Amino acid sequence: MIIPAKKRRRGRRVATAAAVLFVAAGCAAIGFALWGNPSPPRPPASAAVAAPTQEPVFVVPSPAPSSVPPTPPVAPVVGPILTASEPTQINIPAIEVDSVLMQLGLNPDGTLQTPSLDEASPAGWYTGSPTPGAIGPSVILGHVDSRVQGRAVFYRLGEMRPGDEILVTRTDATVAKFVVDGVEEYSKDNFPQFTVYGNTDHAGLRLITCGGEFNETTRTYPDNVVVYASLVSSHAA
Amino acid sequence: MNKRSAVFFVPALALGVAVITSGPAFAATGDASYQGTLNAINGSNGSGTVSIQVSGDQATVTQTVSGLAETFDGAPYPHVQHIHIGAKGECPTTAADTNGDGVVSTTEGQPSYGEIGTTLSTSGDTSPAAGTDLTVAGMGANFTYDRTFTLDAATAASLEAGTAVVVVHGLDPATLTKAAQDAPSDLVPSLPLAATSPALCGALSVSQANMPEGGVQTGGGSTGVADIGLLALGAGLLAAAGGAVVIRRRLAVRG
Repeated sequence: MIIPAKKRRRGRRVATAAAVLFVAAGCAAIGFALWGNPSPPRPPASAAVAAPTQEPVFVVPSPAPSSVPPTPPVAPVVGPILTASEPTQINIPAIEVDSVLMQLGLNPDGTLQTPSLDEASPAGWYTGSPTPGAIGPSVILGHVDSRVQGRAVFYRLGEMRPGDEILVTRTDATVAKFVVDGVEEYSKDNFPQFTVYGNTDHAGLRLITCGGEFNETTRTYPDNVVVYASLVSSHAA
Repeated sequence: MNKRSAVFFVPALALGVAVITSGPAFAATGDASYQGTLNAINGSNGSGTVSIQVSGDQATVTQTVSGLAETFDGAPYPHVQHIHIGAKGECPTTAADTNGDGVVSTTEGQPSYGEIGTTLSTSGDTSPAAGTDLTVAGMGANFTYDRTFTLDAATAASLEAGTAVVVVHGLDPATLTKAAQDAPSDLVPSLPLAATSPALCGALSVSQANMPEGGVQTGGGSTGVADIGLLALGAGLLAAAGGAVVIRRRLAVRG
């Protein structure tokens, strides 16, 4: 077959352009595959928990709820305290989180329930912990990612730093405002239960998600990222 | 990519299902839970934590202890441990050392934490009668203790009243004064004072949160890993580029 010289020249130009285009698109696709889906952010090792700096405030117990069991040794309480009211919504401006809150209990083995991994799940409040704003360690957890939705509600939790604000809306139409005290990453094998879930002298909040390098074999993360925060104020929703 | 499109219609459904399937935790879990931080006493330099889950008349005690005296006569040091009850529900200060020998003995600490209510023995009897049985004590410098047993009424009442205190006994004699090293135990005169004196003490209080086990499984893994589909597409495009180069060459050769 004989191709006229003019057509051949045009053919060469088209082939050149096609090669350049394919190389560019191919490299872009590979690049995005490798680097366009980064691991979730992790807290620096130095983002240590600083003790809350509020002055001790001795709160007079409110006379209202008689169902609360008496706790004889009255410990000093630091900072503001709200009466119990279940949380419905969490808002974290610093990492653009705005999620309704589901309720989570314990699994039969005593570990914390987590939202479904197969659906785009919201964050959840652990019903065995105090409601946000009440004294003690209120626990809210969310996934870092999932097979179905990719990045999940607490994907950026590891980016949080001391001073960041967390707003929790409650069924009593108040918004409890917390400020981050510290961000820690712990191995799940050596999880400091008492530090995270132990009694506190203030209205505390712990936000928990997964961290570390994902293990493809076990399909789990080795670590947990824990954000520690304290109630600073509240306002009407 | 398919995961993106799936995201849009599942949230409302997911939320509804998730709320229904996650039952209330309080209804299912136990009647009460207590916790305490174990602090060094008599300069033991040890530390620990203890939590107690009470369900009906059953108590599950979970305890971790570290940094205590390691050996005694060449064997693991037996640290007898108890829930003391019925006094102030506090740990004694050095002011409790009424005989001034530098050691707050078990007896000297009793105005603060009271008598033995339950022996945290590793097997068998958990009554005060097993209180100084060294064979069922916690052993060595570091140990964990996890046991479920029937809780007696007196200890249960003290827990509810906020006057229960966990005390772990057994000091390294080398840390004591000569006089205290030579002194007999106030509880078991055949043993040295160091063997039965308090090393760790922690007042128990109602847990604000019902303490979950270990870490949390909050990741399914989809980020931080290479997207295989995109990789294949990229490889295909590069192969196509190679094909285009070959065609160009052929056209050039013929020219």
